Amino acid sequence: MADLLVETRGLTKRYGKVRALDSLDLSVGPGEVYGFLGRNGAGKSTTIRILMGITKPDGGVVRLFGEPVRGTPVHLRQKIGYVAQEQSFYEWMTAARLAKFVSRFYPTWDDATFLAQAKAQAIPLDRKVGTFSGGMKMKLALALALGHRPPLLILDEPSAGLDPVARREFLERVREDAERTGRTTFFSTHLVDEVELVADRVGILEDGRTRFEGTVEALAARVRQVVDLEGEPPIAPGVRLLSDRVFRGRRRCVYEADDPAAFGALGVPLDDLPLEEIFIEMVRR
Amino acid sequence: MRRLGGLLLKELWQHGGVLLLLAAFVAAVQGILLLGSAVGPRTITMLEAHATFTRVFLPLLGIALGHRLVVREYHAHTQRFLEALPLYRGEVLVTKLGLGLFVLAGAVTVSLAFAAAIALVKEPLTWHWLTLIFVRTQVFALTLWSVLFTMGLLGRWRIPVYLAMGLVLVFLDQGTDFEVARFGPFGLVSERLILERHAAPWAELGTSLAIAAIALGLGVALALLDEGSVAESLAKPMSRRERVAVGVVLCFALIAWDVVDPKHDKAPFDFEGDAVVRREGLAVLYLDEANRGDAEALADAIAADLARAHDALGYEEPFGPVHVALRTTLEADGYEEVELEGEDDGLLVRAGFSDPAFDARAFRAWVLERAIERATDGRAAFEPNAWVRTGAAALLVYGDEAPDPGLAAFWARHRRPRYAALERFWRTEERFGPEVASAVATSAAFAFVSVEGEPAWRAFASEVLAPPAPGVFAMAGPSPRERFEAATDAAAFEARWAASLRTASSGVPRATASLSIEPEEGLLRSVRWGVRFRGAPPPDAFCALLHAPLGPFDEVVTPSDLSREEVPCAELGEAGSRLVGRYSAADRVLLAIELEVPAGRVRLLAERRELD
Amino acid sequence: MRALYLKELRSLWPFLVLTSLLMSGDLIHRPFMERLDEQTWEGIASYLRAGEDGTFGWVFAILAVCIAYAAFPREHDEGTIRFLHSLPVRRPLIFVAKVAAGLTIVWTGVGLLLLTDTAQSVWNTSSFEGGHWRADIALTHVAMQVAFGFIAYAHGLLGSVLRRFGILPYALVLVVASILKDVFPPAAWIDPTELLVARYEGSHLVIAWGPWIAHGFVALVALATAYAAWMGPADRIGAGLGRAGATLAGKLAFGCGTALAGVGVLALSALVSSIGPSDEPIEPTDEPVEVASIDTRQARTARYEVTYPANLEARASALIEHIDAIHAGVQRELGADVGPVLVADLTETSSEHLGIASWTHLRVGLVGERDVVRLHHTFAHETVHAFQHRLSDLRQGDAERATHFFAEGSAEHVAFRVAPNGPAHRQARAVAAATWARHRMSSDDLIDERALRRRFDTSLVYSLGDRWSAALASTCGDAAIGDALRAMAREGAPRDLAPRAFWEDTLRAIGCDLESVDAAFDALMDADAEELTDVIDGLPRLGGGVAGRDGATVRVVALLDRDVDPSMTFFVRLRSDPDSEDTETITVRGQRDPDAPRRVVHRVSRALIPSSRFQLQLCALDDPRGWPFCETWQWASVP
Repeated sequence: MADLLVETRGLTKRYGKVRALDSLDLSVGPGEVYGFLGRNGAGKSTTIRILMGITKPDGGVVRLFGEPVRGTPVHLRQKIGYVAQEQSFYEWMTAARLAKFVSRFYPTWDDATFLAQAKAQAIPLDRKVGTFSGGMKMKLALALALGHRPPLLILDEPSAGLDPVARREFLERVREDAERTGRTTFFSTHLVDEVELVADRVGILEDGRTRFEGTVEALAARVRQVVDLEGEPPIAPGVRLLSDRVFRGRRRCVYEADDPAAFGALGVPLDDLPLEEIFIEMVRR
Repeated sequence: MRRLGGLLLKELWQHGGVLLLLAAFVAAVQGILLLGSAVGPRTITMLEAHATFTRVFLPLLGIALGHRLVVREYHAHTQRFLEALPLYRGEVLVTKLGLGLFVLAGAVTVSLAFAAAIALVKEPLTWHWLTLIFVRTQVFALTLWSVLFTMGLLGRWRIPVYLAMGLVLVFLDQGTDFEVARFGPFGLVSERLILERHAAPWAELGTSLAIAAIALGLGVALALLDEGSVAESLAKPMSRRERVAVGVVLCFALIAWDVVDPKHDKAPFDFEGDAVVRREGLAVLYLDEANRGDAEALADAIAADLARAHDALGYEEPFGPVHVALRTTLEADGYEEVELEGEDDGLLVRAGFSDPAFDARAFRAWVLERAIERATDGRAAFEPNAWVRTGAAALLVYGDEAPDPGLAAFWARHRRPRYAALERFWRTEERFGPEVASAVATSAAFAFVSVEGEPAWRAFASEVLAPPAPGVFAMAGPSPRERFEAATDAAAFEARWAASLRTASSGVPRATASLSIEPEEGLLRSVRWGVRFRGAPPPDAFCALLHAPLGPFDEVVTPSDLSREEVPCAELGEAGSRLVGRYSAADRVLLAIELEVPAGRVRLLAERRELD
Repeated sequence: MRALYLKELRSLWPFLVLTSLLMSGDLIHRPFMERLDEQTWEGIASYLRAGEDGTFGWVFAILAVCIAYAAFPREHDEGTIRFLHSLPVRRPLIFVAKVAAGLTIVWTGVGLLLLTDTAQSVWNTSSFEGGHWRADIALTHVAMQVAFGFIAYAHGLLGSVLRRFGILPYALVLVVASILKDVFPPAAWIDPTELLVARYEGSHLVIAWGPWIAHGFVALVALATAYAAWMGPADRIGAGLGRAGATLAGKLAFGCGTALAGVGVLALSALVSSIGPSDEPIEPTDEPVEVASIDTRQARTARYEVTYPANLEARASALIEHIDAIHAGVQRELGADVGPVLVADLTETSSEHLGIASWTHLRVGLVGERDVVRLHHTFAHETVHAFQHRLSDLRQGDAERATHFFAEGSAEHVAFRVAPNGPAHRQARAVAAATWARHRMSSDDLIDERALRRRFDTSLVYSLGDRWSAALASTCGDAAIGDALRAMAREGAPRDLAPRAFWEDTLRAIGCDLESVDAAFDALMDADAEELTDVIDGLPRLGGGVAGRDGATVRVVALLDRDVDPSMTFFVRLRSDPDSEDTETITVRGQRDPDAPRRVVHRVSRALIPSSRFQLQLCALDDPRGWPFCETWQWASVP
């Protein structure tokens, strides 16, 4: 396998008695768009903060660009473009000045790249950041993150607070950038459609652990449902019954199998599920 | 370096305008201070402007800087933005520390330069001297900034911590040997900052640098602990509960400050030198060898009095030390009590005991009264109890030989001998004079003994003159009147007392005093006073007007508060005398007319008046 | 409305706790520390005391302002105001409920104060020892505190509505008012905390109606302005001010600019304080006015580095010839080592003093000083001060309340020995003896500077201090003065002692006894009084006070009890209270009535009188270069 850009093995983080991450394993290959999916409070932001070196883990291994790290050193952070969930910009700076400030920390900064991004996203460079809306701040954050042409882009719930149009535009831009430049992109979200739209691979986080990691197609094939079943739900080796509920007057039994071929042993016709339903069934308690 | 440069640039963008204003402000303030030094009549050197700037305005500057560079960053959460950038937290700290230090160090350098330039006109400055001042102020600036920087990281707790530090320093300074003004950074900017031209303050420099290092260490730890999450969480606004808790703690601290009386580590009072006669718990200073005999006799007598009193009143604790000092300038019957600071200092009194006319027994009784007051923490001087104190002291000193009740007989001309009058001891003192009040109390005590016997008196006095419980608990138990009525038959006592006074001769000539207020110019008032005798005024008598201004509320006026205008009575004449223009309309005054005869001093009249 | 009011009260409960503690906190400790039946109402309730400093007013004002801030801006900060606005209730009612709740807390504090002070006072039933509780005064104080609480709250309200732009202007106004008090005393009323300072005439509490009405009116305007701002444009004002404040001009005008202006005002106040209030101008004389040239020269001797005005070189040189001998004399008298070279600035031109000294620096005025003997004496006096600071390691200054008389007195004593001036010494001794005998002073009055200042002329520290130092030397040996200074600097010397305890400790450390010294001092003063009877008899007793008012001039009349030399001059000193510093004292010269030689009139401009109730001291001066004889301080009122 080509060298992974991001890899964690057994990553653990506690906040007091609360285990935010519990032996998390994930891997992101070069050029991938990786969707990191999880409920609110699952540990997505904690994972990203550890990757960025803002927080240190309590256990496990983190590798970035093939290098084991503990507290990401400066030279590696200079290769990462990061967009935080909430922007804490200096409100008194204009966008142009903010870019000028940020540029001093990235040796690979390219003004032309930033300006192109700013123009494409219609970011007013001479206005103070304090006057920007939430969506505009997010666009600015992305432009800043891309301005130094990083090989790895990490986005923490980038579309939170954006309206549907802005969100679609943002995601398309991410996808387009990834395809054009071959940049590896790691983004966290709780919105499954974003993953469907842009991700090559998806990792599902549940209670601090990896619930699933793989392609979107593999995820879709992993979980099937039986509708209007009568009697006891069938069982088969390698197949787990995730739920048996009545929804809108119809009984629905949802099954999960590591190997989709195992579904055949159930002996009942199975239907596909939308990705969102799969996600809900996998992480709902 | 590029990163540091970027951070510095950001700080300058953010605070540059203010820093320029601050520079202008420093110049303006320094100008005003220099002007103040130049025109101020008590200026020793023009460098005082620099000293004032360093002591007063530099800390203000530092607080403002700390707020801008540190508090604002965390309050606005922009440190999160910095954390996400490829730089080390330490680099952010170094930038802020360096910039703040540069500004403060620069400000004091500019201040010193200005002041020195002006001072050079007519003061002989030396490089050594200026270097000393420079080093002192730079180290002070460094220490100040280190502390303020760290305090900024404490976020919402910085102000309570400032207050706590202030209170602790005050407590330490006032309650211990620790001298804040000479310690570390405070010592660097003390008076010697601009006056010490030769010696380097190595101790203060070392202490200040140590404080700076500790503060910086703490600050760095705060900023880096838990990846900066501690500092971030401290930056959140105070919750209402926290504010209330701080307010309550502050109130209690202020109450404690008001209540706690720091003990000073000093040796208990005592006389020094060889001209002192000592007995157990007693010392008599006699100044000159010629007075030694008198001193020894007095010491023996007072020591015996104290021992008797201790047994008679059943005290567990011994009387505190009693010190008697000879004061030859005092009249034979003029005694003074001096207030001593410490609880262990005991009692200090003065008397002219070398005077041939000195009445040792009267003095001994007076000393015993004071000793009993101290032993009862002043409770024996409480008005309803005071007569018992005086009577007990007199009985212990005079024994069976009752002193001449002449002055009490004088009093009995004007008042009926009743217990109620004894409870009004202070009022009797004011109206008739301290000697009369003392005589009244003494005669009452002797009358009590003649009715009930000495053991009954002893039991009664022990109860009244017992060391009291603390605070309001001293008020518990029977009232003085109830104790008296339980100890004796009031009617029998009063009858015996009245009888003893009826038969006594007062030795005070019959006289009437007069007092009037006369208008002077405008609001000024004069007091015309006179004494008319039945017959010729005694040749050796003195008449005096006693007067004192009063406040709006009635309080005891001690003899030392009273001014005295004295005239031989024979010179007084029909017209009397005038105290001219001392008081004005609407003044409240105490006016009394005193007659001094061989029998003693009596007040013929005493009034509290509000002048029209 | 009731629900709103109760909700506001509930949200302010922490301030109720704080108010209770501040107003009634003494209830926690006093019953356990003091016997209440011996306490007076005046002793318990400090705000009753005449001329009490404004501490109570300040604490009360800060409390009221904090409550106002809690009631209004917090609601906006937390966003709950939007919830309130969404309710079916009129906005004015919300305002009224908040104001009512805040004032309830403030006035509850007033009530608590009265209740707890009265409750602690009732135990003392004696009508004499007392400060016996008086309903008229109690109720008047309550009314004053209620009104003051309203005024402070109204201002706090306006400040809170204007947010950070509000509190700074208010703070500035108060600072300016405080400075103005020093420079122009009749403007003291501008400081609202002065409203609560108790002033009495006889037993009646004096209400200054003018200031109360003025402050009340201003408070109503503040309340109305706050209401108008809060009702309509409060948020818009806040946003607008925020935008304006974000511009550079705005920052200058508001934020840091206001703070800088505030600090600048502090610097100005330091300047004004260093100058102090001005006395009336000195009358012109026939003597030519001497001025020091800006051009200076420097000279160096073995013990001094001297700077002097170039135009007074002859006078300076005549002095410089002798200064090393003066230094040697002082060194010998104090038993000191030679010490560092002293810096002497002879360009001094102060009208307040002849010279000053600190550590190794002296300033002595050559200008106008033609008397060589006096000049030497002054130089010696200041040299002694320099030695005092060094020998005592500046501890003498730390205990200034106990040592002021010794600092000046021993300096005079040594200076008279090193640079004798017989006539001046005699005059000083006479004034000291006259004051001592006439006012029945004791040494305890002298050694406590605070006690001395409360009743007597503080310049007595020179003349009486000189005699006390002589008594010290005669009792404890010639080296006693120097030894006492060194004893102050000894390791482990206790600090913060009361004056008597300080001297007991210091003299004990040198093997001497304070009582012995005081006895010698008493005897010395009696001897001086007897020896100088003729001089003392020439000093009159002065009786008098405020006689009336002629427009803007207050007439202070002094009536002499004897005829005096026509050359004698008179003056009156004025101050606001017994604890005023010397620099806060005004001096006004008097004129003798040509038709009544024993009557002296002092015409005092109302602008110079510090407050409506003040203190004055009548003085007579027989030698213009000597010390005055003064009566004790007495209270007076502006008619």
